[in-house]
Amino acid sequence: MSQRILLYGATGFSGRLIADWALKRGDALVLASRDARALRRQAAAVKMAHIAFGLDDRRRVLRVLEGFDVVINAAGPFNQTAERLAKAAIETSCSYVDINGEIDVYKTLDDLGDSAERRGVTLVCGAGHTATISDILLDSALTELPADDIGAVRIAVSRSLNLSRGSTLTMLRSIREQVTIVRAGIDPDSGARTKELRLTHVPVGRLERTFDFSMQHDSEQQAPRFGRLIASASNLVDTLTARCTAARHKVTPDRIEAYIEMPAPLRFAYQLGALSAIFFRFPGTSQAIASQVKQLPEGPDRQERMKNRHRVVLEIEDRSRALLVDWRIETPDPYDFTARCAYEVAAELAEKGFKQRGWVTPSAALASRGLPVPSDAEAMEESALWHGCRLERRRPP
Amino acid sequence: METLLATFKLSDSAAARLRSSAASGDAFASAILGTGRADVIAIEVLRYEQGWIVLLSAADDVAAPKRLTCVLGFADQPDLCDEARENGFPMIEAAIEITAKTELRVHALVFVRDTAGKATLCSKPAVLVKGIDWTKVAPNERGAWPYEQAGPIYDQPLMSPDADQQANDVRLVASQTARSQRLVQPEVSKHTVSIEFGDAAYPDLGALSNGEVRPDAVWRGTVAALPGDAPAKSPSGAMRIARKSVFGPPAFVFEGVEIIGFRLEQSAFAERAGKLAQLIQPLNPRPVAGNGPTNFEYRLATATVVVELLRYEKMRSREPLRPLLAQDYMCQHELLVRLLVGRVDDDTSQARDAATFVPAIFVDNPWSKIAGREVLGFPKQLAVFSIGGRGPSAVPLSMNGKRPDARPDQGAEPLTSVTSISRVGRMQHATPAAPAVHPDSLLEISYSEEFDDRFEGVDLSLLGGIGMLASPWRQQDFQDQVEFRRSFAGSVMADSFRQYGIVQAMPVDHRPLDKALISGRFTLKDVEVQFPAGVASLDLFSPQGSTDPWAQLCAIVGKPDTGPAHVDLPTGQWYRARCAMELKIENTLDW
Repeated sequence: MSQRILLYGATGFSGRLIADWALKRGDALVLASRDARALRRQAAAVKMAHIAFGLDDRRRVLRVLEGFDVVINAAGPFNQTAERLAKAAIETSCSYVDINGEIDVYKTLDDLGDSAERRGVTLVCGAGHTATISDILLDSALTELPADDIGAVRIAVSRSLNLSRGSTLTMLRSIREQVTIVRAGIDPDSGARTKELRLTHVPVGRLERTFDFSMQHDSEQQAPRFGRLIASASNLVDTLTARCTAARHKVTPDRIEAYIEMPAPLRFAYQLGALSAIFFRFPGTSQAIASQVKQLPEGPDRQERMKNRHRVVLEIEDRSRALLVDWRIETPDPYDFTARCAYEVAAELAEKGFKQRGWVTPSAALASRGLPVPSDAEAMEESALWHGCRLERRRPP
Repeated sequence: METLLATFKLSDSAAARLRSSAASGDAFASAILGTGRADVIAIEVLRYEQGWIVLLSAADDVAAPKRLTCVLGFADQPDLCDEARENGFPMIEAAIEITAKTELRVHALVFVRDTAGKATLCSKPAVLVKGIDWTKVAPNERGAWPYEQAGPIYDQPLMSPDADQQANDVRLVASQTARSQRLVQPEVSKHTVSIEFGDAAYPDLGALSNGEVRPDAVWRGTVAALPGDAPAKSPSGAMRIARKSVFGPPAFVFEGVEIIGFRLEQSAFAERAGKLAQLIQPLNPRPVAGNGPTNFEYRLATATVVVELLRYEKMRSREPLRPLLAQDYMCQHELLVRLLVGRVDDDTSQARDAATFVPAIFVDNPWSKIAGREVLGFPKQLAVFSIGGRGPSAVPLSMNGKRPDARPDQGAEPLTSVTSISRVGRMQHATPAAPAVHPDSLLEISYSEEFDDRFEGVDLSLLGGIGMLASPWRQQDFQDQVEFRRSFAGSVMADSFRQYGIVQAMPVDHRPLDKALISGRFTLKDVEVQFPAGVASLDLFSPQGSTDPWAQLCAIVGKPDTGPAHVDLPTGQWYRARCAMELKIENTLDW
């Protein structure tokens, strides 16, 4: 299987982690990047084959992808790489996986779903940490719930203590005046709810809620970090992924929202950033910010990642606002877990028996590896994907 | 007798000529050899109530043909032609007439190359079938006969541009057309029948025989269905082939284009915008704005409809199929309806990708009609463009704008003298380039003032300026459309005479192939505009009971059951322009 998966962006922070995880799983990817020198170093370190190419020469990209079943795109910023690589992948009948977290890129790529289906390939966008976790949780939950009485679906993620350079840039690009959320469609004539799930926007800061990030058996160090915390609605691709998954289950929730935990200073900075979003687009400002971000370390080091734990909360209410699902999951560091998710999704797509074509969410791609979420700790430890994770299905009051 | 089927084996010299032509890239010869049955040719003549069909096919056996592949067909009625094309028969309209009782003659528009090497499109006898008293041939009635025996089956590939690589690939599906039929061999002596093919640069039917050919076998009989009536068996085995090898590259050049545009403005039709929106439904074949991944749709950007009358002095493919050359060109008149559409994501407050969608288009060039319907997604229909008033007094113009009786040194009639456009009913030989006027009138035009020919050049390097004034679209057209009135409207108006996008849906008929959206871009140059003074009056007609897009437009513009829709357009609501254009088709997967 190994020679059929190409990892583009292998010299970046996330790319290196994906290659490391594949190595740990006994697999050898083919590494690719536009930076030939860094690529040689990285390939030598993990003893994997490599191909250096950029995305400017379309014919070259097509020639390279023709030899692969799946390409993993870990090369950010994704607004500069994802569309090109996805189109080339579709044209060469190669499936495509990325770890993109940019909502605009997600929306650009999902327009290619029909093309992918016609060409018999699979597109999985947002196979990174939070979108994959929240998608798997939602998928699991919706299999257990009545389809006709889902009110709100809320996803909340804890904040990352250490951001990579790429994540910082993505976050800055994602800051805008409004937050994308999902609402059930309303028929303009009758005022009745329709089966459509429409994207809409609310101003930054309008949607804020508290979520209980705590879990049973939290250690003394964890208890102060994860309690009931304020989170602010944010532009996460989780919202779009959840919409696709809800549609797959033929469920039309009243609303789907995604939140990030934010303490007061961060919320203030977020709202100020949203107000100033237009200034970030000015060439001078954006260049100044980019040069500042370049001064940051490429990402958290191994020690920092080992210490960092991350949590995702899924709340589902019925139409009378009674809580139906109150689940939370703790994972290792988001960057490590992103590498796992991306690799496992790509490996699943590379399996001969994988049949789903077109636009597929991470949970659908990982149906055999990720679902149902193991309920007991022992099963989780035995799973390659869930090793080191803790799931708590809190019984709603 | 309702059908005549004759087969003959190609002579050695004809076969050699055919192979030689195919080797040099000749499209017609390549099509015959491409069937894999290049030795035996079959010709079938079918008489139907509406008209005649003549099919030229490659056959698998001269004495007992079981499989035929039609390589070129002629029909003298556009509807018959379209139905047959829907089932994969490569048909073109032609005049088919009985001359001297026992002669059936096909007059087709073919490319003829003169001694100077210039190819022109003109009407020439293409096929002559003699030896039958054609006047005693009774018309077929569809479905009138029970199944009698299994006769030859037509293998006709169904083709449509690929849904993702519209400019590069054609999707091809094998399909079979079997018909209920009864063929009787002894009824006609093969010695009484003879066939002749005309020479032309394209299609070179003369390559099939050296002079008159006597068939090796002849059958007469009945068939129960037209090619277009017989349902194709479930298509299977879809494959993609290079578009270039079938239709040439997707780049077209238009020179000497003259346009008269009429703006049917929003203020009069705003309340009818919902009905207008139905005209763009072909662009939205999927359920939209919903749970699936495709969460965009095309929406009408403005309720202003632009109806344009055009004349193309020269139009050619940038790299045509051989034996045609890059400098060979055609000409035509065109009447089209333009709707401005934009792509709207389900959460957006601003539309993007402005494009013109053409729901109805009429041309007087059958080859252009084929290219439009088969490759570009324009639902072209044949029409005749006439001058000299309305009704019987109208004089049909040739495709080049000249009167049929014009002397060689006489120029084209001004486009402004075109006063009526009518659907083509049946092709007639007398003026096949400007076929018979059909009672189905489409549009009649009159102007209150005389014209001058003072056009003003448009400096395309200036953003806005006169270019914006000359745009078919105005800012007020967008005032009720929130998604479209800001940058969308600005870019549309600034770019209308610089370049504009098109989007069409393929296939334009009901052949069972994936729907493909054909996107492309017209780039304009040497633009000159004029806003003539006076009132232009339009009468739009549609046949009773018709539901095609033109009829829908007539219903929207006019009042139901009160005759033609009449519109008077004052100065400023109509315009003239001259330009040159290039059209290039784009691939969804390109970047």
